[in-house]
Amino acid sequence: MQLKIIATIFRKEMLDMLRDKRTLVAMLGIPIVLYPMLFIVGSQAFMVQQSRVEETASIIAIDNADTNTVRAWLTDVEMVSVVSSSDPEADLMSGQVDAVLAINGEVNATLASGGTLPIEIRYDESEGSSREAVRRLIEALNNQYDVLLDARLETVDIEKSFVDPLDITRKNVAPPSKTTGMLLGSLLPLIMIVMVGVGAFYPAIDLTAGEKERGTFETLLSTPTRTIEIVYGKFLAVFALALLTGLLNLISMVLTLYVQLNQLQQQMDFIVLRIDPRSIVAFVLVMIPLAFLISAIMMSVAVLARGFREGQNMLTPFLMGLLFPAGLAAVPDARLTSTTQFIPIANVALLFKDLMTDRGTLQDVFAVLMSTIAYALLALLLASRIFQREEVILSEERGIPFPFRRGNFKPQNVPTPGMVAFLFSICMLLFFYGGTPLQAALGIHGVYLNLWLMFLLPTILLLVSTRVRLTTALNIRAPRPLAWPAVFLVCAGWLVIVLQLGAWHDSLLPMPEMMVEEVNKIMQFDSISIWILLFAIAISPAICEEFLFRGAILSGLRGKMPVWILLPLVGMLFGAAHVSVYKFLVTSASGVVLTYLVWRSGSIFTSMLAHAVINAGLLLVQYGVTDDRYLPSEVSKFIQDTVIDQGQFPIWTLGLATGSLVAGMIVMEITHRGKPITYSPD
Amino acid sequence: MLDSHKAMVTGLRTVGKEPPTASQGGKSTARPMIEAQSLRKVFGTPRGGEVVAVRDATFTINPGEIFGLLGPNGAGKTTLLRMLGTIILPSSGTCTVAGVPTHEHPEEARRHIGFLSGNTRLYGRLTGRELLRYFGRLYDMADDAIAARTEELTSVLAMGDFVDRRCDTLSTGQTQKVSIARVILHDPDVLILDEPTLGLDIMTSRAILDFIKDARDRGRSIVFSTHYMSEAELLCDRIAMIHQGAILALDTKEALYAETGTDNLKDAFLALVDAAEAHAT
Repeated sequence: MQLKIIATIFRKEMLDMLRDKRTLVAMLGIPIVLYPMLFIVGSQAFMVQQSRVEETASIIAIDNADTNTVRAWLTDVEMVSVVSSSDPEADLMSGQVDAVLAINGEVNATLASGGTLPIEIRYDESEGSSREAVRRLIEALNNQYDVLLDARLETVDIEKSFVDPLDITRKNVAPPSKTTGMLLGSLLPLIMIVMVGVGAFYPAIDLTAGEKERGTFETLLSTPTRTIEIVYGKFLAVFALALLTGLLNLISMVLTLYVQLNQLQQQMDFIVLRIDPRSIVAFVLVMIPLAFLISAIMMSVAVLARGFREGQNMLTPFLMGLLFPAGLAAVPDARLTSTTQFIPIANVALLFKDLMTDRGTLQDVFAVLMSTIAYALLALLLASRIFQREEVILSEERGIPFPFRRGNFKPQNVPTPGMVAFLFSICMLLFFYGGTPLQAALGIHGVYLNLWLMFLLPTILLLVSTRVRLTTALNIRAPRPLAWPAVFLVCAGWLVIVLQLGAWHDSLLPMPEMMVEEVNKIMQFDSISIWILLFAIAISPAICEEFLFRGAILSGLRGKMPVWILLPLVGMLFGAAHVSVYKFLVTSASGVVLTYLVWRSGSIFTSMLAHAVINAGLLLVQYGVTDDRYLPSEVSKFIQDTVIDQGQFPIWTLGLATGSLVAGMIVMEITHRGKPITYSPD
Repeated sequence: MLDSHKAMVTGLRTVGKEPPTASQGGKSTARPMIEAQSLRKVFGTPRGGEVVAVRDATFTINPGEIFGLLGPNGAGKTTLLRMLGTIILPSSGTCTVAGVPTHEHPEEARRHIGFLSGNTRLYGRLTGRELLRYFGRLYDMADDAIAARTEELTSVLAMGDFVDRRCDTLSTGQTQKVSIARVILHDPDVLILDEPTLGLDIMTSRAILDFIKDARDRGRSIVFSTHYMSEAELLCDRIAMIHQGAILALDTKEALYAETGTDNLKDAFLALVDAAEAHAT
């Protein structure tokens, strides 16, 4: 795959699309013209209407035989005018009066006898003038209520507090900015997500079905480009336009809202617009994979169409369908939870709502980002797969996107990068959806079941079903004898370093108490046997995670990129799989070390051993500081006094650890010098 | 039109590489430029069935030869040409273009091919110059080489008046000239032309046919499909008659006349179809 060719296709498609009027209207017309117009016209109309209502007297009709008393109550009330009506109900419906006071019973007789006079205010909720009339009437009648009550109390010589034992008031503690944030948080994500969809809509159709219809696909396929380069070049253009549309909409909406709401704020003090810039940054960050996901899905669908019109017919339901997950943010009390944060598109909407109301956390952003990336990768792989089907690209028949047959695959030694991306995305999504309920239901048993069912099982199933040899793909081979002492030196050094890294990380980005409690609930050191803990925390990850990350993923990516990209990339994928922003850096760093071991030795057993030893070591440290059976008291006291209490090992300890790590790497390098361990793809 | 047509034909003689061999009538002793061995293409139907579009096509095409594919609509010509052009993969069989196995290195094979058909259109929102730059980059040509080649082709194809206009504003003849410029931009050894004159007016058709003859004279191998018998008679050094996916006969037109006892390609084709159907029953 040549990046230069992808860039050439991308540039051409961008130039082509930016000359397309429909794309320009969707991308620029709506944000630049429509929002300001809508808001300006809307707010102006609102203000005009509001001032007109306030300046116009409310016309009230009284539905009672004895109107004089009630009319007298309202005589001195400002902006209220009482009129006579033979049919008040009909006059209200026709708009001749704004409200009707319906009084059932004799007014004077009832009041004189000390009874309660039932009064009903009839109005038309759909009319602003009618609502204003109700407000004025209630205020006037409340005043009259106080007058009547005072008169009655005076006759029996009772203090008013006697009939008013409770003084109930309500106070909204939410700052005005939060109230406004709630409103915007419900509205903005809906518009943003739909606009990203609108941004991708025309380019996705034009660059696939449109190109088929115009007959330019065959022209492109006759050049020495690979299909995958065409897919990525086109996809990047759709993605860039979708993202650009989303960003332009975001900028335009925020600016318009600032201008307009600041004007409204002068009249209505409950409107306060304050958006934390960090929320905007977080939302833009999440919008990138969102645009990626929507673009990839739209391209996958549009390429199945035979022409532009059919593409529109096929994509319109999808565009409309975006309203449902995006609209979830508008549902009262809908929040980002451990489940909803993995529902595609809805998670972005809910995250934005939480960010606007100052509830979103870094962990929420991280989880939504990771799950959206996983979905986006799957969608892009689907698009690539469909593009590879010549009958879909060239023929007039719609093709079946996924004719999966094992026989279609040639036997291979290692998986392709596409398979790696697919495997990682699937494992992540299974882990997202299966992991939480399993751990909630089974506690520590859910931890290891997760690893075996969500990581190892899909890895083996995918490799077997695509005819990839397990021994080569999973790096199952014995290491050279000197590799073992090298692994132990690396482990000893890294165990100390990782404890120190964890302490530094905690001081910079401490895990919230709630999350610590959740972890403790699962671990329950007091009641669970250490052997079960070792199996769940050390043995199972060493087998399952290693087969996935240092087995299938490493072998699939090896040789496709320089080692200085390969090691951090596999390390970061490993870090991301822990789905916690509080663990990401430290686990990624561990991932790099483990990946190095297999990259250099060619044996999965080196990283399995290291992973098991490091995890077991960390577990024993946690046990050991509270229980002398697991660590010598001197060691546990040293750890407690240094890294746990002070957050810092002594320099000599770190020096020794680094020395051990480097020594292990040197032994590893010498052992395997000049003997690269690689497999050919097939 | 006539002037630009003359310029195009004359100009093409100054464009491109010198011929590797000067052969005529498919009698070259040089290594074949295309070698197809038992090419077969099977398409699946929406109901799960199969349709054989091309059946075991075997032939070679030499440098400096115009190889005609003659057959009615739906005979399998386009599918066969798409397989030669590596736009689709054969279900079975092998093919080499300029010695490059197409199933192993399709991208490398395409560097030797210029592919033009009724279906290969231009990007309407790009100008001719932008389009040539785009395709030149896809062929991995350097930007200055693309610019020089574009100037050269603009001159010889008389495209100066419209090369900087958007393709969707060009006439049919102008569009076809830009298409030809695209096809020969990278100076390919093999030209695959699928019904290139379909729907064109007589002047533009003649320009295309002259372009094909000129390319042959310059040693290029041309695979040319048509259902216009007159074009095949006029141009082709050898002709493969294809019907229902199978090559019924492959030879020079004189040999085909002799074999079928006819004196024109139309009658020869009908005689071969009749014989094939009689044999089948």
